[in-house]
Amino acid sequence: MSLPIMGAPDKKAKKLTVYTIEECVKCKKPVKREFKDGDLVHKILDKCKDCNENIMISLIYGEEPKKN
Amino acid sequence: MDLIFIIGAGNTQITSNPILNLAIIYLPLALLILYGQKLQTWLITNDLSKTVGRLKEMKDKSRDETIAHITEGIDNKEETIKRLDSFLEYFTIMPVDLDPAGVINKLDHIMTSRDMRMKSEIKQLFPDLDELKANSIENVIEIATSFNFVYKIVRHFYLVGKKTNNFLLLAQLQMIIPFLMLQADALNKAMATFKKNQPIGDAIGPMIVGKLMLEHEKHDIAVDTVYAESDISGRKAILVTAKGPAGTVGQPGNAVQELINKENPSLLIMIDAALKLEGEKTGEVAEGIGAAIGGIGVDKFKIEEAATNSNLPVYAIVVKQSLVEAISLMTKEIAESVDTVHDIINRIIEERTNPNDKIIIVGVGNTIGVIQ
Repeated sequence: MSLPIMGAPDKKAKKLTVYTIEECVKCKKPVKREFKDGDLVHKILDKCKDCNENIMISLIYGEEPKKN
Repeated sequence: MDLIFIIGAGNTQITSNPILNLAIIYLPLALLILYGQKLQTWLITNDLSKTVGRLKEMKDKSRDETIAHITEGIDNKEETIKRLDSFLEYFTIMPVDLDPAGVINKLDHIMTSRDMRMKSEIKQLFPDLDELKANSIENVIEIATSFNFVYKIVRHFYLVGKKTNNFLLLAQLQMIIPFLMLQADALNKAMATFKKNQPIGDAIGPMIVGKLMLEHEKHDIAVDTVYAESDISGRKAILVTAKGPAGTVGQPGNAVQELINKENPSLLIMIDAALKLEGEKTGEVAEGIGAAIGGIGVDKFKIEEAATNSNLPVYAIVVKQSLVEAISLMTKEIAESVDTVHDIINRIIEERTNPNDKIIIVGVGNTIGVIQ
């Protein structure tokens, strides 16, 4: 990290849900699901049902759960 | 008019009894003038005492969590806990800088020795662990050590201020406490993320470069650091980052130094997470000039030195985030900056270099949870 400047404390800390985004390397169809132990970014999972190419984890991130 | 009445100025008095007026107005005033600072000291001490207590709770919780994480499935728990407690007290003595010439080499040597010692002790303690779990343990212990250090420093100044009844010392501590608590909060969140090997905000650099490295052969170039060669718009791109998915920042300084000397590139692009200023948006991407790399300065020095000697332009691309976001679970805004940064890299390469040129692209940061 560069620019070591500290921001003000955030008192409204949010609880994040961890999501994993799976994506076929060819048809780029993204599937969003909850994170499972062992998930790693760029890990190859199954084969795509549509084009038989690899499905890869493209992103893992935390997001605030949507209010219903 | 009301104010004049309240403070009893002029001819207006609270009551017609002058003695009662004296007791209500002038006595508290005299007490505040004489003992105001003592009262403030007492209030600050009380406030700090609560904060120190909270910090202690957080520190103890981090120790317990570390114990639970490292003793999972281990028989000799007592010996491991004893060793952990000695890890928590580890310290690093910085080299003397009265004569600054050569201090970077000394600093590099000390920090490398420290990392090596930590790694070898963990290996000795848990010989059967795979690299990912060993690195996770190392990171979790480092977090618990930082917690212990923050707590001890705060407690030291609190106790000195209290013992000497030093109002100024206590007031200064009270002023910086919100920022120290911010750091403690960040460490608290980092603990959970590192235990599960999830990517942190600082992993954005390795994630961006790691994506470009996929399906290309990786070579080791420095401790925990890899590079791969690729073709971007007809240029030879040499991609460098720390070796994931374990939580490490590698040694980008050594790697870039070696590659600059070996390959004689025409451009160096560095991608890193940068701490945002208050008011800036998380995940915002900015471009600049210079070595985008944090830490204590060893890697930055090596890269700047090698780039200056080769007259090599250094371009920086940063993804903005707060301190808490940088060391805890990567947020959606940060993760979604990957494509934006790839577009910027392509634009810089096309505008600033010619076909067949060599370019070094470095993804700086902790590569936890990211495979290349």
